[in-house]
Amino acid sequence: MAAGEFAQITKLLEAAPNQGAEWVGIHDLYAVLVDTAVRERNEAQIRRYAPLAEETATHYGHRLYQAIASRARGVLHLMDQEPKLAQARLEQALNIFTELETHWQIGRTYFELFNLAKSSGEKEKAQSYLSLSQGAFEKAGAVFEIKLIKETQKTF
Amino acid sequence: MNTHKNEAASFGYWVKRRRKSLDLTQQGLANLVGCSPVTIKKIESDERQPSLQLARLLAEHLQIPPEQHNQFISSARREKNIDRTSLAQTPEAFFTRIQASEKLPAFLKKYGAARLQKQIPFVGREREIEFLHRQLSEAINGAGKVVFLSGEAGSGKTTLLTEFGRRAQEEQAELVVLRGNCTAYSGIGDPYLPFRDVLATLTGDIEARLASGMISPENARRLWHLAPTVIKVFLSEGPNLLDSFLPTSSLIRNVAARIPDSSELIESFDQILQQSKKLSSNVEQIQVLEQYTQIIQNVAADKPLLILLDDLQWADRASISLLFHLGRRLASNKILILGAFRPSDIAVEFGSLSDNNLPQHPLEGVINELKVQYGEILLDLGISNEENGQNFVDALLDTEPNDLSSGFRTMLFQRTEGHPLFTIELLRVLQERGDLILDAQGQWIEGKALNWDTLPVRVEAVLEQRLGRLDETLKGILAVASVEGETFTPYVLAQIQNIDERAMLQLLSLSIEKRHRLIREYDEIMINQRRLSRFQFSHALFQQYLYAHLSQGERRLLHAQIGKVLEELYGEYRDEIAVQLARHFQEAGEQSKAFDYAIRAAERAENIFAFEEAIQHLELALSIIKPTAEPSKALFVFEHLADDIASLGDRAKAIEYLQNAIKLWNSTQNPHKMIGLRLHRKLGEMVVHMTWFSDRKKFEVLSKSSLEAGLQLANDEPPHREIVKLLTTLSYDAWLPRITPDWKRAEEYAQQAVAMAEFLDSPLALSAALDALGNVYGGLGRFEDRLKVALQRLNLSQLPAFTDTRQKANVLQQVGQAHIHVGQYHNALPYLFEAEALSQQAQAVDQQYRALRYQATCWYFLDRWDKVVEIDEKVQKLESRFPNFSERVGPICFQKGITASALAFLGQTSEAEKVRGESHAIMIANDGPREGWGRDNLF
Repeated sequence: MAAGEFAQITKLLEAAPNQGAEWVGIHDLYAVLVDTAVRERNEAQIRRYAPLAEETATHYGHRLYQAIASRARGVLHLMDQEPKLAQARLEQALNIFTELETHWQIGRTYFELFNLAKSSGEKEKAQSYLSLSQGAFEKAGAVFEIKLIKETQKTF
Repeated sequence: MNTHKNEAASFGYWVKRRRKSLDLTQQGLANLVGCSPVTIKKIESDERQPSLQLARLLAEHLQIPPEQHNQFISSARREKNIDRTSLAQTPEAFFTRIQASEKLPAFLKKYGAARLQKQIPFVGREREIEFLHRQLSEAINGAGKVVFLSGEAGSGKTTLLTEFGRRAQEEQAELVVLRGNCTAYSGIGDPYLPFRDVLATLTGDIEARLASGMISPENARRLWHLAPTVIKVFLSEGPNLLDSFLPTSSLIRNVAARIPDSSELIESFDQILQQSKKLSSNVEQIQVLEQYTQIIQNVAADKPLLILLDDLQWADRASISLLFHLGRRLASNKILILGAFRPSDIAVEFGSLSDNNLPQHPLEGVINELKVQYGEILLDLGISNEENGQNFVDALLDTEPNDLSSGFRTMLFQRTEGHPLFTIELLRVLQERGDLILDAQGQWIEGKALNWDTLPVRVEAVLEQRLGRLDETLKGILAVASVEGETFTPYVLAQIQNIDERAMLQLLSLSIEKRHRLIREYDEIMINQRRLSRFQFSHALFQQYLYAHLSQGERRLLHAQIGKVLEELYGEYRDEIAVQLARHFQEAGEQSKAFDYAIRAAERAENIFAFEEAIQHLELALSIIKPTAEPSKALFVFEHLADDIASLGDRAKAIEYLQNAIKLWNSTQNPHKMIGLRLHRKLGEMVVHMTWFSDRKKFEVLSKSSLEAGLQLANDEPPHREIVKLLTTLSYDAWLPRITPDWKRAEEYAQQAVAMAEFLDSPLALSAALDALGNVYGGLGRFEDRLKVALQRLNLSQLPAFTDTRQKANVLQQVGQAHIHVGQYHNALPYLFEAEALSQQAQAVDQQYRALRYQATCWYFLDRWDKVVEIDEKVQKLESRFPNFSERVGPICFQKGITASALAFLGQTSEAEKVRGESHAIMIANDGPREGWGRDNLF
């Protein structure tokens, strides 16, 4: 994403509920905002939106968004160097994604678990997560993510 | 309570029993059929009815034996009208039964040797016939098209159509030839007349056509064998055409003719028709056009079709719309449509392309559009006359033995320039005068007295001479006939001339038809249990000449007499000829009757979704009365005009008519409050439900003042359904046309509407009010409440009052959407599948699109991008099928956007970029440049 686009998207999304009959719930917005922040590795934004995303997703019982929020929390713990908490949050997210059979999300969560294991120096575990991530991306047909995994394999 | 008995009759119990016998858990079965275990649980406890698609999957995975499939699915769908124990009563079994009855009917044997209506001799035209054969051959090979014959009166269009149809049918063993005629007097304003004729013939209404020689015995045989397929296709593809294009009674009669000794089967057919009729409400004209097109395309997949449409210059607008819609969809079908028209009639009545001051005749636009698609499709008979005139004269003379000199032949050509009608009628004059005589060998030769100087020099003069040879009695009879129209009824003439009907038939048949060849027997019709013959002038010019030579007074009196006789003759079925009666009484100066019949004609047109014709009749009705003198009548007309114009999509114009109606209502003494309230509500509703936000903004002030006026009228009134509708509209008005919605007010109105509908115990009004409330909850982000409301509507939609398929599809789509908002994508999908299936059945393309769009949303969030792309393909197919797709469904940028995203995920970057560009372009077209998005002053 080009510099400044995240801020622009944030601004547009925050104004979105007033735009008409296509109902966009606040939970939809926070889920998109926090997930985009995770992909951007924008720590301040994750910190800002993760609790809001979690709260609103829980309010509506929205399982997908709950998992997205949990994953964001896991990434935040990873940034804060709290590996146990990160592991718990990421596994929580993984369980929900598995229940929903959302393979791309599963692949992404395994990739975060790979990052966690790598940062903890658990090379074997990391390798296993990377393979699981690749398998999930292949199920989803996520071409770019598969490429990314293969590149990561080479440098790992 | 006898539990066992109830369970035995329950679909849920059937599912549970089969599941257990297969040793499946609820979760296991749910996995197999792709739904949640909760859904299976609810189905087994009969709390939930599965969608058609789910029922089929259940039948498959529960290994229901094939012979019980229909019963299983009927039971799943709780189709109470279908007896589960009798497979003979399912539609499939029924059609198998009637298809098996291949025995030819008695009438086919009786008229087996009958010949086609005797026409004027067909000679020449080899170039044209060759051109048409080429077009037909391409059509039979799957490249269907429309071709037009253009030629002035008497140029031989009808003869060429008939002869080509005859030859084509002889040469092509599979070809089915169909014919629809437009007539000058009943054609204009009688919606879909030629296409109704075509459909009636296709569904087996062939006896009278065969008896009168309109169709050949061979064609009748082909039609007889094809009819069961057509009827089956008709019921599956054209539910809205039943009773509008084709009367139920006629369909039952045609089916009964195939299975004469089986009243039980006829009853079951009646049940099938009733089921089909449940789909028949709340449709738009485009759906009717599409259903007709689907029927014709499906039938042509079985047998190639040649459809002949004569005198298109008199076609009603609805028929021209249908011709255009169907015409554009022939490219890969075995269909050739051959239409004939007179160019001067198009130019005289409406103005030609070169005349900018007059509106273009709709046929002209259609021809030009179809030319773009099919290339050169216009065959001008005028041009070919000049080139081949002498050849035509020679060939015509040589159809009978003769010894006519080349000098005679040249003179005849110079006089007539090869104009077919002129040549034929002039020859008849020559024969009648004794200028041409038969010699001893039976050959025509020139008589000694032949004097070219005393012969007429124009075709009109020939006609005058031909009619001048009739005695006064016969001339008087034909003059009366000319007032009835180009086609006339001997019974009517007999009543007016005070002659016995049989004597009248003899006079017409023996004297005028056989001796003078001025008329011909046309067909037989059933009116009020009575079979009547109809005749037709052998050429429209004879009728026009006779009518033009009556005095104003004679015409007025004769129109009045004919109107009265027709009224009595048709009795309770007089609405069928409301168009003709309106014309007769208008010409007679009987304004009150003319008004009544114009209104009936309009209502009849509305019933078959021919809104342009309805508008034409309503405008006629309006021209008959003085609005200020008869305000209640005028108000009625204005309101109908507004409804019909809105149905055609011009809401701005419709609003003008509603304003007129409101003005009249205000000027009425002691006006009925609910009428005023209804008019105000309709105006507000029209604005609120406009497709484009900018349009809604434009009429916002007007809508607001009208709704406020409505609200004032509702004050102190007891609960009433009209007030529920007003409150529902007010709820939408509080947010839909506004940049900053007033959700508080929207909720208050919706709640009041719900409470009043509950009080009135009106499920339909309650459902509409709940829909408004659900939307408010959506806007407020109260998605769990929205889901509750959607499920409440779903329960209501199971009640017998809900017969409208579109409403049901709407409810299902809303339930699906409500599940999406709380992240229950797997639960949403079955509802959305069913919504899609129902909307497709009802040809409701807007709803079908929405169901697809929300399915795409579900698949997108479930990371099933392949499914998202599949849905985009479906949407593209819909777009190509419905020419005004975007007008009907609104901007499709969101769906395009997620397709682009799915394609990008799948690595199809260039395709993704293309689709993203399309999505962006739609957004810009809808909402203006990107810089302005999100600003309050955008509109």
